[in-house]
Amino acid sequence: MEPLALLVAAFAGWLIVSRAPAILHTPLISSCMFLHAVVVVAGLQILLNASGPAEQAAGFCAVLLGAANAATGYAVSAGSLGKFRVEATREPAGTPAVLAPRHDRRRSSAPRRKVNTKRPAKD
Amino acid sequence: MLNGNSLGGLSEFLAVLCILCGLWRLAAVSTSSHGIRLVCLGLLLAIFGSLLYRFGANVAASPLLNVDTYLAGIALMAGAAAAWLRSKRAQGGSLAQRMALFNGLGAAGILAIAALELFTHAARGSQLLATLSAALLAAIALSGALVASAKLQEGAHRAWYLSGRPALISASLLAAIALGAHIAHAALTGDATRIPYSGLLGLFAAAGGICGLLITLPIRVADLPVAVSVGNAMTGAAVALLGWVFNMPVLMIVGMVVVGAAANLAQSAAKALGRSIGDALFWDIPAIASEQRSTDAGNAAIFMRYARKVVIVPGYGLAAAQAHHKLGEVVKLLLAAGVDVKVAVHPSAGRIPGQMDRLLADAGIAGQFIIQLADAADSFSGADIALVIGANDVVNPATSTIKSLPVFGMPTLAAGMARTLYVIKRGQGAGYSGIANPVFQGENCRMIYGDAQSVLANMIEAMKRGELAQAA
Repeated sequence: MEPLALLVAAFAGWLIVSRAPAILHTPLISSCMFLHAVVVVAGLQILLNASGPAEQAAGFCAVLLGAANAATGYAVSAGSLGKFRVEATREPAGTPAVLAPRHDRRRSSAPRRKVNTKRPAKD
Repeated sequence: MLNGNSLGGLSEFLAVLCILCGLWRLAAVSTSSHGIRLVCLGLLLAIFGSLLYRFGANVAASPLLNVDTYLAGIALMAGAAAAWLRSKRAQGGSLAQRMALFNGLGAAGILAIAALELFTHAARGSQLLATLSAALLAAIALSGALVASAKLQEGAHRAWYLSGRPALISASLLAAIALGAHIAHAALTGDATRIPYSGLLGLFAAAGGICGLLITLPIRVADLPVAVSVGNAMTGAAVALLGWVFNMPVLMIVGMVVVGAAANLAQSAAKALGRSIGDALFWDIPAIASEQRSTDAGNAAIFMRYARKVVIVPGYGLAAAQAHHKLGEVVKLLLAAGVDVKVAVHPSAGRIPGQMDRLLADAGIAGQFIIQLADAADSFSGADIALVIGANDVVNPATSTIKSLPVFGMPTLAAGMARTLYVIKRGQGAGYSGIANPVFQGENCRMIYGDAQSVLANMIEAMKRGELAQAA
């Protein structure tokens, strides 16, 4: 693969993130870590071509850790994005989209906000 | 005719496409929750695409293929299930700590692969160098992640100061590089048998780990986001290097995208602290941390829109700029977004007692939204954000401690108690009393420099843009 293509890929990552507002930086950091899970691909390659215990052990470890990375990454990223979820519109058209609160908010005067008891990270 | 390999190629292509589009959607508030699902889909495509290699593999040449496939299935299931359950159970635990730790998972996976390549002498030539670099980066990232998470766990808000920190860090890094060069030289010239090869590899990894330790240990907790992002970029680079060793484009592309993205995030995190990345990682805290940090109106507006409770403190700057109608619009937008908005009015705000109430009433802000000084005491401690508009002395706690002040003894609004404080101000100067405000130099304070009229207009624009995107 051309080194130049790699440069373009890095630049693409830089550009995409530079468009995000500061409030999204935490979810973006965890999404980047989520993407490290792609190392599973290399682990699988080793494991599926393994012909001895050493290769099996290393491949197994890499796949195990990568899969754990993927699951944690999804849970953490989706969890920290939960507060941006737009509630499924069961309201009459024209009312502004209401955010689904993630946790119990200490408010008494919130007539327009419905409490969504669904857990946000479950998709 | 599609065989296993071309299907694998197709799934790699789709995977990279999904990941890039997903990141793009992640970078905007209204589409971010779709974005993470798209990224996840891309990752799954890459992983299951690579499982297709099984069907391209020569069964006769690899007698263990069936066992290996079972092992792969077990590892995937067990890793994912364990981590998923763990992160579900830890709901409510510190998000920052989990994030700091899980950067280490990917790095550990990379280390496992690199160790195999190095110990079995599978890598040759430049691939050996790439594997060594990947191992070094992963070792630094792994030890950094472990230390970072331990620091957040204890809640130990102190840094372990080391004198001559940059020198120690570069010494350990140089040691690791020298060891790596020695290993590479021995392996490339073919006399790896004459040196204690495995021992040197262990030393090499240990030197990398110590380097990560030395970087992360002295860092104060406030600077950790920078360190975590830099570790993130390192792991991304290690992924890309491994991709090069195994000739896997999807690893290379995704790794480099992560490098770019994480570098940008590290820079943003450092900028938010008013420091550069190098300062945050290698140098101690400046002795006089009296710098005011700034942000822009759009970012502040989006944080306010997603906050639970916002308290606004208007002052002379609002009255002078005649920006009260704009403030009325901001309040209306925040209320429409479901935010609990209050306006805390100091009796002498705007330098003429009582004028602020009239201006606010003109702008349609009255009654239940206004809190007076007497009731304001505890409303700030429960607020996510306090927005101070052109006020200075009325939020300056120094008025109760410094007797020489012209406004000594004046009760003030404790805006600094809010989790985040935004201050709209025309410049860095002091207020009417001529004294600097220590609250404005606090850890939680961000200045928005500009005229109240134009800053509020920018905020309204940013919020409306967000609203439109949400409706679309």
